[in-house]
Amino acid sequence: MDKVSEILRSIREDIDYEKTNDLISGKVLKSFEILMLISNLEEELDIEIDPTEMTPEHFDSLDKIRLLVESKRA
Amino acid sequence: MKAEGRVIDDRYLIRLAEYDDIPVIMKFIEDNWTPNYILSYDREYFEFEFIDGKEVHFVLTVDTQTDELCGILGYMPCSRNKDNLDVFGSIWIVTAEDNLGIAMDEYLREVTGCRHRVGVGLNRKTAVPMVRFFIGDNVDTLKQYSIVNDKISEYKLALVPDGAVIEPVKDNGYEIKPIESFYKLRTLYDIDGNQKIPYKDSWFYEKRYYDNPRRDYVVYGVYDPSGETGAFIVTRICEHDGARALRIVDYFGDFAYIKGMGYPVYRYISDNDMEYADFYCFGIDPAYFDGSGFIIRNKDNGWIIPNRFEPFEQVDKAIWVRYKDDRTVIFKADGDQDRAKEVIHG
Repeated sequence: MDKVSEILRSIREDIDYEKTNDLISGKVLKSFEILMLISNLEEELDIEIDPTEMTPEHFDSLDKIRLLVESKRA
Repeated sequence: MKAEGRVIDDRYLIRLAEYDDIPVIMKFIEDNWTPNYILSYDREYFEFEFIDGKEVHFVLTVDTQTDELCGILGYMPCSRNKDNLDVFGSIWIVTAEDNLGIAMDEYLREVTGCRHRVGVGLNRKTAVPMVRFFIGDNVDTLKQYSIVNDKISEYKLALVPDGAVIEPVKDNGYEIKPIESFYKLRTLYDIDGNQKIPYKDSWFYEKRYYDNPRRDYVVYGVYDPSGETGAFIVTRICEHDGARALRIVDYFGDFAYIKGMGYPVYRYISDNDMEYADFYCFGIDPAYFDGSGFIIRNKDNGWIIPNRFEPFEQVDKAIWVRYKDDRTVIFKADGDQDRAKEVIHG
């Protein structure tokens, strides 16, 4: 399991992240869970997420979050 | 707890606060915010900040299963003009695990009918993501401009790198003159006729800068060489360890006066042995500062112009703001960012 997937599952286990494409826009993740997600991504992966990137376009699915993280670690 | 408002998930009641709620709100702040936070123990200051007539400027969330508060959102109207009403958000706390913070924000905009909801001093870890993901507002940071006094031999407040060259600001004929009464201020400037976003009216300026029970502000008119004034600044002096700085916390009027005011501000801090003057703002074209003597903060050049004095911290401080309209202009004292931090006794 990759680190992004691990972080997501540590926040909510009951979501099928491989099939869910509306984590934010569908309000699947609640506000407190999104704060945890941002915080854990930044701290555990040593990246900084720009507020302009805090949109459903970058966070609605596991793949989109992976892409964002990879772009910062490249 | 009262019954009007909006019910969320058949459990949470969102409504405006009433006067009787104040002790409960202050206790909630005491229990869930920074220890010894002034709004948790200073009732007079709380009322100054959040009461206007019969209005109590808080949105509350009540858990109807326990009848206890689980969320508060303070706000500050920028005017008494209901047609052009803009509001600043203030303290925003949610303790229940749900999207209640966003629901309170939506309720605030609906119930006040405000045109613009502007935020200053957002927490980068909490409020910024909430605003971006759920509301879609823009976020940014205030820009800090400063003039450092080149005549200081030992800087105690500012961190000035060894060997740094500080240029004096050249005389340009501009002056700043104190405006000691609000009556005089109104005669000099058409405050209520301004077209800025957020719209701050004369009630706002009088209350915050002339009637503030915990802060001493001095308002200066900015005069061009012909003796005309088209702008005023609001200032406050901060002190630490015997050293002082002049903070420009608000600005009204024509931005063209910014270029000219650098010299009289420089002269003021030089004459009064102050280390620096600084000016936090957002939404002003940087070109207005060209040739003014004000230098924008650059986090990479080793300089630090401190913002925090209670307690003093010699650190760079980013102040996050939120806004929707690109014409929005924000200053340091907007919202509750220049609030008193402790009771001043005596």
